[in-house]
Amino acid sequence: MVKYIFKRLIQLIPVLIGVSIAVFLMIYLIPGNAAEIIAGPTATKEEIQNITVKLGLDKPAYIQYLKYMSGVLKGDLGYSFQTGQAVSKAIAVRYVNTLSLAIFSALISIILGVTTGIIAAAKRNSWFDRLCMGISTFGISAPSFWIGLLLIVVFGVKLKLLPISGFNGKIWTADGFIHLLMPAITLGFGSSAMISRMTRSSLLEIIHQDYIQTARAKGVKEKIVILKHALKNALIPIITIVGINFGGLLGGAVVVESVFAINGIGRLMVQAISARDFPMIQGSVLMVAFTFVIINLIVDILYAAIDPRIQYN
Amino acid sequence: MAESISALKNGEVEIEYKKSSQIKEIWRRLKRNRTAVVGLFIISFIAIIALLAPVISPYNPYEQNLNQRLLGIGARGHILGTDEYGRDLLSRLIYGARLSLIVGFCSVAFGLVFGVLLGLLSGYYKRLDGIIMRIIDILLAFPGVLLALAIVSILGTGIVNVIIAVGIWSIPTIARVVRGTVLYIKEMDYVTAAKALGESDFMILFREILPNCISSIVVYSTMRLATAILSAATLSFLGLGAQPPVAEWGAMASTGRNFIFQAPHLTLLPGFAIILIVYGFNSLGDGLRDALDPNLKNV
Repeated sequence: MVKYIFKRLIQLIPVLIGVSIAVFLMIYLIPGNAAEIIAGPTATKEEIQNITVKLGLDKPAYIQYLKYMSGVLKGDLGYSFQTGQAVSKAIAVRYVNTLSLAIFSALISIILGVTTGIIAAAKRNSWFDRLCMGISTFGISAPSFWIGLLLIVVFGVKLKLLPISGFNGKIWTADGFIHLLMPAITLGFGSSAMISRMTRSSLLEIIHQDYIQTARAKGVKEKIVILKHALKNALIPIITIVGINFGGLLGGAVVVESVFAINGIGRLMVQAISARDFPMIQGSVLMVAFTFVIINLIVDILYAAIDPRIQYN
Repeated sequence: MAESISALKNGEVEIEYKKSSQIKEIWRRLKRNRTAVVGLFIISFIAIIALLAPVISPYNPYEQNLNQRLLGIGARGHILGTDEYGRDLLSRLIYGARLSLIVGFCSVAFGLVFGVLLGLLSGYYKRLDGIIMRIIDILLAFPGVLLALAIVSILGTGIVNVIIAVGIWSIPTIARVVRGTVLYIKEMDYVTAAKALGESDFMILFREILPNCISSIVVYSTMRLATAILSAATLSFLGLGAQPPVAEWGAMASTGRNFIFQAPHLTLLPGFAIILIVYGFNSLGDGLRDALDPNLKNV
């Protein structure tokens, strides 16, 4: 197992380097050059030249990359073109908010998805099964911003039950929890739809196997047959989909943060794109991609730990 | 009978005949799938609306009438109400269908051109496989719409850039699907036979392998259309795609958000239109998968 984890860590290095190169290259791919963007439209040639030298943009690309990466490794992601603030500082505050949102919505999607999936499988072809599958089809097709806006209209505007914005960054407080509830449901809805479908289908596959029939023949209660005997073996595909979706939640957070005005990395990124604030865009894209890659690694290791059939080599 | 015998004498005609019977078989299987039929119906309905937009649209979607601002659903002369500039919402939704379909098809076509090529090369040439797959791994390290967002940040905002961004975002997944199919097909006897006959790699790739990848490409592209339309609408919602006053569903939902207290339908109806079209493509994709090749169920 240790060998497997070590091997996966080694495999991670080229991907991380590749991601960092791709993010670094963004500044080269923009039309015009970064110095012109910082200097503004009224700047003289001299001013642009000064900024080019100051930022080291006149140096060869590989030297600039090495400089950028040595900064990244020390936690220095550069300075915002727009505000002059350190990018790492701006991201650090918002990173916690994005991660809180992603983890909270992952929990909601697992609880909602697995529960509805189990009931739908146990009561196959019932009205509940049809309703669940109908809602999950809807959940997969609906844009998250629309679900967010619908929740705002129903629970925020009409029923006045939940606040529509203003997360304080502290999920562990009652106020933080209440403020993050609607965004987390919005983000987790699509994911819970997929988990529900996967739970239902993998349970249905297992339910017809001989050992389940044997358990039933022995007189074991149906509840125990499903929750103890069947669910245990249906867990692997469910965990797979949970793992894949968790990474996706990080990407989805970009939209949900904008809808509920949460100060997360996603919202920061959208604002930075509109302002063409490249160090901020690079820093936030890099952080989200790195987090995504590391989450995928953890999920892979979890599979190997849970399912003995997965070979470590 | 005499006709079919004479047809069988000619190799070309025989192939044509087989193809048409294959299509008939696929159509028969597709028709039996209720979800696929619903999907096909929705897509056809939206496509007809998009095509006939200038004829069926009750108003010009950009015509402002400030005396009739923010009318609700069922208002006289405006069945779905009007927006903040008094523009007819139904007409804007009808024109929005055009843009959604164009964006979806163009971005998937963009992704297909490069994705299929990379998938073919990667699956066929072992030497290229390593490097292409590593690049694809890197592109897949950007979750959700993040890659498309990063590309828009480079290219700048606007609907054409969104098409390119969503297209590039589709490349890695399309390439992976095609590569998987190529790896399987290239071991087939007829490919070995073509090699033995001295056919060039180009001919083998494009005449022997590519036609046999078509079913997986068609299935995947249909599903990808749903994702592409959804992502493009999302980017427009974030203010990075179509810009007002363009009648685009994501952008309409975004501007409608400012009037969510007085007129929630301005933001909810465009969203509902997106759900409808995405559901249509997803269902059709599912049905096509079952009809074209049940073995693709796990793709």
